[in-house]
Amino acid sequence: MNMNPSRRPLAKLSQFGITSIHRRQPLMVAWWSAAFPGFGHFLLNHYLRATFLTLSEVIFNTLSHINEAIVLSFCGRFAQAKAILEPRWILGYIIIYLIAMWDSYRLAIYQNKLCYLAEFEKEPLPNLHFYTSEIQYLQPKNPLVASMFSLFFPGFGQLYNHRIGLAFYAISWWWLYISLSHVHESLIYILTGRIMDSIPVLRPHWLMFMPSVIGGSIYHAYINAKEHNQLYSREQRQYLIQRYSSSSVRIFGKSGGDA
Amino acid sequence: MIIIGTFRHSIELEQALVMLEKIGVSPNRLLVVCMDSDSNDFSSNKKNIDEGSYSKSIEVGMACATALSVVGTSVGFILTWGPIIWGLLASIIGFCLGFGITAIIQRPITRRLKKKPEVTVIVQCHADQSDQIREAMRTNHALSIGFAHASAE
Repeated sequence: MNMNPSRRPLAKLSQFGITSIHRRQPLMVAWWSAAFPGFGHFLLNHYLRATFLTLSEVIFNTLSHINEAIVLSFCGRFAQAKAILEPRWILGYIIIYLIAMWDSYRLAIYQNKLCYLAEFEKEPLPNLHFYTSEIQYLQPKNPLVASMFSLFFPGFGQLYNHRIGLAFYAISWWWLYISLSHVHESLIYILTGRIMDSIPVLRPHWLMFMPSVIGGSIYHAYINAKEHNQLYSREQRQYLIQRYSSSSVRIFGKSGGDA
Repeated sequence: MIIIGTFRHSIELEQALVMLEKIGVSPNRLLVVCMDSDSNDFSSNKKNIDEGSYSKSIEVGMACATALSVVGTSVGFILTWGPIIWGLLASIIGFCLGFGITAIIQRPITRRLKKKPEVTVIVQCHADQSDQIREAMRTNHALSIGFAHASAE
């Protein structure tokens, strides 16, 4: 192929992990943006903008009291839900929320096209790279192990997948959510049979971030592990084809070399 | 003689190939064939990301689990068992619903081999190397190994 060899590579190794292009269901990406603005962008490997979007989500959700309003609405206390929302922040929040979904959907469609072209170009994939403070390499991963790590503590599935920046970002946030929502205290009450005591200690605002974060973290870990497996196979094929292309083995008929 | 081993893509495959070279099999006495199956097709540029099996059902399951657990956690604040138990229950129900419905819609899931071979290694060698070569393959996670005396040497 007489193309610029690095025009459309499929993957790159860096200190922070493996960054790559993959085919995605655009609707799935949009859905994760709806679950938590920024998560769709994390799936598309737009890690920096995703991080800013998640920060914006937490800040403006907190300022406009969205999570409390969600809880009150689902509990049927609509008057209280209306009263608690902060008009100063709510419109901006909604606009950012919808744009994040739209943007990630649009990016997913474009990345699918990029992926199609990049696969055709067959740029050699990296396998192993040394950095001053990290080693990064392609490795077959078990998607179920990745999911389980993130199920127990969001961020550890990302650590398993060598995505260290996101891993420690997620782990820090999860500690914040645990302490601000008092969820582990509540869990201890439940496990010791004091269910009635377990409800009042919870802080709805911070608790409501947690289902989306844990779900998104599991999904990201699962899908990323599968993608690493695919990249690993692809890279190994490139190597095998290149190294063993000059085989003189003839199964039928006369052998090509001195046997 | 000819020895054939099948493998998955793994680091052990490359270990096996290195061991073969250490035994004295030169690379041009090896034929390495990458196998395509429809679930793992690298040569064709089909646009379909679907990988068969239950992959898509798991994805939809996780999406539904997250959605329902948000609802469950909220409603849990006015139910006896509280937000945590209802949140967890709702997420389990959500996962089962999402997984089940997608699996039913995508019905014709053909039963697949759990570990399909992805790479076939064919070695042409002298009969006296045969045991060593098969041992190298066996200790490095070959899925299956076969041999034949029939070839022209």
